[in-house]
Amino acid sequence: MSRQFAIISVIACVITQAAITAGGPTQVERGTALLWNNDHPIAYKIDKGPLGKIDEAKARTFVEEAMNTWAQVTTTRLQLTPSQLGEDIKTATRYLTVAGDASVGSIVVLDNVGDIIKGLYGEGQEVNILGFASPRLSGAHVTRFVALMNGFVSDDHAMVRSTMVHEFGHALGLDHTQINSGLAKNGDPSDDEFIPTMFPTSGDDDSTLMNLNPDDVAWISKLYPNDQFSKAYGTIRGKLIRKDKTPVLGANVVAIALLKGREDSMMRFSCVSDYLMTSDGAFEIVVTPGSYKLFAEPILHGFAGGSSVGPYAASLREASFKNRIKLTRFPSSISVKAGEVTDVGTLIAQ
Amino acid sequence: MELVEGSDKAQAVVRVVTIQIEDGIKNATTGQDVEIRQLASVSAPLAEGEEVLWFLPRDSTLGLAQPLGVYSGDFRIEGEGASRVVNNLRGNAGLWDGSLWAGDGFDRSRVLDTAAKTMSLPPARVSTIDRAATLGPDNRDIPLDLLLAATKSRVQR
Repeated sequence: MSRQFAIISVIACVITQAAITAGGPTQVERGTALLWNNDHPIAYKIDKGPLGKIDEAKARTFVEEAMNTWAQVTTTRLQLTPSQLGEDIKTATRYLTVAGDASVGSIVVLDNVGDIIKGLYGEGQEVNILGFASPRLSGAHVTRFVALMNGFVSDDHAMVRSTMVHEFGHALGLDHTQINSGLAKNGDPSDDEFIPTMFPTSGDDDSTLMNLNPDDVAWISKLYPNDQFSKAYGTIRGKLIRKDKTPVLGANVVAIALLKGREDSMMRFSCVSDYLMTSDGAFEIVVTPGSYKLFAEPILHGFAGGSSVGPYAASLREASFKNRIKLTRFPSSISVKAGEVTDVGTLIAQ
Repeated sequence: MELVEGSDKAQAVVRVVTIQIEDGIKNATTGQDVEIRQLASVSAPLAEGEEVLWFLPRDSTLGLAQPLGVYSGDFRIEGEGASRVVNNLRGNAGLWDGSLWAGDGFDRSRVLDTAAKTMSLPPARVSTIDRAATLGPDNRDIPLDLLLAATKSRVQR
């Protein structure tokens, strides 16, 4: 099933909610991550016209820079080929036609003043949604994506650029991660550098999301590795189960590097248990060589729907939110070498 | 609630949700059925018979509507009767900071008065609202009574 992600800004409702709105692949099927075939360049077209107060040339530059943020990771092999769409898509009706036409290929739509958002989601919603991206499948591969950026909320260029990097991560096949969720809204913008780009919601300072964190880099590299990948990364593999030996579906497993100071918060890597939906609680965490400790935690309630983390969080009725595990720390230190898999066997969550 | 999948004018797959309104707050009539058309690809899963509290915008020119903020305004109701609770698809994160009464949006006496008089809740349920409003909502179910009373107190202004 195709999943779509939206970044939500503010709910202008009776209650004010401060939120905008990678651990793993976005789409999985029968034990396999559904990805782009990167034997070929990924071609995408950029809508004509400005993005709110951002003129056409600058908007195009922002899009290409955001895309290249992923392609320039030194351990990944992604070739991206931008071009310009021959028109300025201005209405929701036209958007739906273009988005539904596979022959158009991948597109980044610049919704100049939020009219398209308004047409798709209802009147007034242009103040709520920054943008969205949806990878589209054909067979076992992602073959195109449709992304939309909302120009109605374009005053903050850093926010726009961060949104683009995040949404294009989805377009390339990345899921969300909830690493360092406690720092996202703690009122301290200085620690938001530790929040990965693929974190589902806003923090205190979202401008930091345009810079990839180790978990973002590890996962894009795992999904699209080049020949440097095995020299730079190793893997922690295992299965997460309950005391009754049933697999834990959709909990977050985090590897923390045994380092001090700033690196303790930065060098964190994650994977959702049973991330490939193999029904055995399996996880694989890609890490840089070193020593690590693991912990497992439930997916936060807030990370359902378009903010979902992992394949079992589309709604609050799914496995990530039923019979949730408790925070479980695993005391053993794990040593990981480049190019090797360290199998930690079966871990029992509380 | 009934779910039907069809196609809209632009040939995009839409989801038609039929909701029986148990308690209409604004621009919604209690007892009526309403049809809400949504793009299926941007809709969170919904089960037939599920109880929801949706804060909806006016329909778009294409006749489409999603709860406000898509996920923030989509509250799912759990439990029965007086103990019903709500959680939105953002885990209620950021609904208010610390205490609902401490912000600038809600007047405690007006909300509690709405609960007691407009909603005719017994004193024990009003007290429950008062207590729940002083706890942080993040990642926690909140009483349906509280969200209804807070919303109705604002709508009545």
